[in-house]
Amino acid sequence: MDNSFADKLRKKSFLLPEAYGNEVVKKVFQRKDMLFALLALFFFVGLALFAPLISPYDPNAINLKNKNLNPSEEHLLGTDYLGRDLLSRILIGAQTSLSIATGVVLISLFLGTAAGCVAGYYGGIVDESISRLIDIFLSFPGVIFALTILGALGSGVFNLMLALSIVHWAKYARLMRGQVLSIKKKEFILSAITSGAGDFYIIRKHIVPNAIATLLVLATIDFGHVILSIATLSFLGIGLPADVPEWGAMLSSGKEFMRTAPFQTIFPGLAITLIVVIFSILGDGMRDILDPNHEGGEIY
Amino acid sequence: MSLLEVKDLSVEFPSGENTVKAVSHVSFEIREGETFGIIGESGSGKSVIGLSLLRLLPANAKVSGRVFFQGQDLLSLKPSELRKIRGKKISLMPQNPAGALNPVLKNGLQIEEVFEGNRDEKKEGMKKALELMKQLFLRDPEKLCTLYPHQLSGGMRQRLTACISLSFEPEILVADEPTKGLDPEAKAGAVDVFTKIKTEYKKTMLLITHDLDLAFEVCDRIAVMYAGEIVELDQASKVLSTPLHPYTKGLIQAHPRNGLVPLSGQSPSRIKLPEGCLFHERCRYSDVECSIKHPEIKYYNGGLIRCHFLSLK
Repeated sequence: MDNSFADKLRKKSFLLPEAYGNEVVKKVFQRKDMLFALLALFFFVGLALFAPLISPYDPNAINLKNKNLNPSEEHLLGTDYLGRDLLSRILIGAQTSLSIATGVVLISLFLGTAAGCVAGYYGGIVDESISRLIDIFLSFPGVIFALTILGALGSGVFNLMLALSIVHWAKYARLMRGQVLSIKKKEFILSAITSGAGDFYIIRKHIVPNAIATLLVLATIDFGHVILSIATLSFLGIGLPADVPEWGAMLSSGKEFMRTAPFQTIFPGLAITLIVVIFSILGDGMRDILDPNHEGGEIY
Repeated sequence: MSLLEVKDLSVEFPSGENTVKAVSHVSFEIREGETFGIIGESGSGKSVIGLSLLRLLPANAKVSGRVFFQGQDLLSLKPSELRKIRGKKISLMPQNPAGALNPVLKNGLQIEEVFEGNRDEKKEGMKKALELMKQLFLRDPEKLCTLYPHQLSGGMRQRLTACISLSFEPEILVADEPTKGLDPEAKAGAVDVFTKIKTEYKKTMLLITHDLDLAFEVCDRIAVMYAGEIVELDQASKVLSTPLHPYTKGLIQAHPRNGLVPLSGQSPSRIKLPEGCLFHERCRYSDVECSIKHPEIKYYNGGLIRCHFLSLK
């Protein structure tokens, strides 16, 4: 009786499955669109990182003799109404947009996750108050809310980041709260409590890893939105100071010369479109790969 | 000597205007080294008892009574003191092994987690846990630690959860329906696992189950629960081979091996309990007295039983 089961096991050829490899990486390589988007993103990030080295001119050097030029050998993408080199400004602008967007997404991801965790995990009055706060923040139209905050704080890179984070954190918080509520009821949480785990440990080790996939998908798609918001605010002339090259501000200043020098709007617009499309494709692909309910998902 | 003593435990869940009486006035003790079984049909309050021992019930549950463990009343301990007992002294093997493992953490991490906050013991403990896994018929435990829970079979997951709950060497292991959702072969394996835990590790166990075979093989003493009350409590062999209480008789006759004879009727609503004996509506021996007076639990022939029928005789 005692050894019968062990004997049975010994007779069976008992094969364990292979250890879990880098399935996610494999899947990325299977999807052509994601691979392409990823390469394009790396290209953009590379350009942004090395922008000060590779940009041919000082992005703020005014040269009124060369204003409103079309693309030529000297100025690859032409110049704007003050004779500033468009290529240099787009490169530096990529740096501005990407770094601000990264900051905004990281801050709101962190804030939102923390708030959502606390609200979902503790429930009761804590949940009520945080949820109402989230509702309030989500009820304002994003750009107008950011405009108000920037109007109060004044323009600047840091203030822009702060304003957009204040607008964006609530989305993450709401998503995280929902995730926590569903994960909290799973039995492994009970089992962790049973083995004497504290609240913080459970949140860190059990809840966040289970929710992170969903959050990352949101963050990726949101990245594109944040870049659009930055461009919008700069286009309205309230985001960044005039000496910081930024795509939205370039669009705004170029629109007056659209008939005579259309490249001043085409190139920054193209840059914005490209980066938003890249992040959309990445977010879509990540949702397909990380969402267990999606077809072919082995991660049940 | 009793290791765990439950005295007059009652659990109620408020639901709207009503209260659901899940467990009422349950008392029993678990002696050191013995395996105590609680059997009964679904919804008879078995699992609620298991959860209330470690205060794992949802916050709205009203628990009264006392649970003494090593001289401490578990129901009135501070949360920080309770955490020292959970998993270390009393560990609960959860009901559903598939859900009890976190799907995004590797198996190794889930075992390590028991030793969290105790770095010195971690290495030693992991070594012991690996040894334990071998003992519990899990092959190649090192490799198993690098896998995710979904890559294991149901039986393996069940044995792994058993390992996790045993790896801190608790004094009492509470196993809540360990054979739920397992196929017959894995169930047979579970019987082996529990026999081994009992004979080799000399663990005190509280086995909550409706698997009568498992209870018969493993338990020393058995309490039969019906509608939140203990109706019979005696040696396992006595309860399962010569049952006294009509409900226990019905439960055993309903086993496929004994002819699959169903008990007529349904267990009573826990919001509005019937007058008199809770079982009288379904009992074929029931008398006028049964529908008026609620029977007290009495000593009878070495065990405890809650039935007028025996006292009438």
